[in-house]
Amino acid sequence: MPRRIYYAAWNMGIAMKKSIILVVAFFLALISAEGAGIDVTVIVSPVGGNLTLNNYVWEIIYANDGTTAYLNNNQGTMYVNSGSSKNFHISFGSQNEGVIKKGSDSIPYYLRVTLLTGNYNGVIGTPAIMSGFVQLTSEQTIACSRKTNGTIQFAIAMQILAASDFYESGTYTDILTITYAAP
Amino acid sequence: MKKLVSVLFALALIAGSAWAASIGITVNAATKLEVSVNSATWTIALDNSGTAITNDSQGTLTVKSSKSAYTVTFTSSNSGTLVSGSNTIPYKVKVDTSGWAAGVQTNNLSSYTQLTSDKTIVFKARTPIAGKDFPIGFNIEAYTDYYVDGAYTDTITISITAS
Repeated sequence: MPRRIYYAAWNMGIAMKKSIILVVAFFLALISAEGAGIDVTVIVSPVGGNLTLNNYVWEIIYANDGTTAYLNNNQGTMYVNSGSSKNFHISFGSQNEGVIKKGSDSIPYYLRVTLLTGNYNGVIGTPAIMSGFVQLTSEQTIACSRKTNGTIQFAIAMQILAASDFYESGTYTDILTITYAAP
Repeated sequence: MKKLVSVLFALALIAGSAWAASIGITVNAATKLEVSVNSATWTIALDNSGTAITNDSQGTLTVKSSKSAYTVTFTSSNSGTLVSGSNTIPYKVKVDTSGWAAGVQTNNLSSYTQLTSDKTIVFKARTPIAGKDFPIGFNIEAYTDYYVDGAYTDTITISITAS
């Protein structure tokens, strides 16, 4: 082989070798980066809590005789399951701010909530609605700081006081909204 | 240099959970509509002297109502006359509601009136639980001829209805 051609081929080989080395070096660099430590963070979604009631319609007969009050200590039962959440709250709100209404006439009513599940101690403090009858002129809240570990029960009591005068006879209504929320 | 790569996995991100339930509350306030009188029998002596008989408090009417609008109606069995066989004596009644003017819309018995037809008192306000009392007056006008002696009777029926 003529010497010129040999040297050309030899130079090409060297160049190719260099190229191959460079390529290999690049791949090696990439492999080094992917092979480093990885920090992984996983956010576990909360298993949702829920709230249900034994009855969604309360129909009440009020004597309206100036003597007889209305009181039912078990007007409704509320079932609460906080799922995987330990911090949650239950809120009570009235569409008519604590009165039942018939046109321009209104009758105030009061609610009280009692925990029936004796071994649950997650209620924070003594909420007003659990310490006595309250009128829902504003929202009332029960805050809890422990998981329910299953379903716990509350009794909802309702009271209408006797009045010194007749209320206009007829049908009065309100809507009570109870909300469960976990942050 | 070792390069660290942090990878964050979020599985079905849910910020929190919330539920709401609504209860429809319906309360039926009972109706009270009642009229009563203190005495169901009036026995009146007429001396046949021609002199009128007037007693502004012959009886007391008590009205109780849980409705704001209602009507009390007076009806005579004999169209405003006391009857003894074929003999009659006309009489009149009135109801004094001046003590509760705020609760009365129209009193068609505000002065002595013969019950030749039904007469009404229309009210516009609920009464207190104990009710409202109104004096009932009775009148036989002066006369120039003797009435045939004997016992004359009539029955007044008082009713109440929501307007």
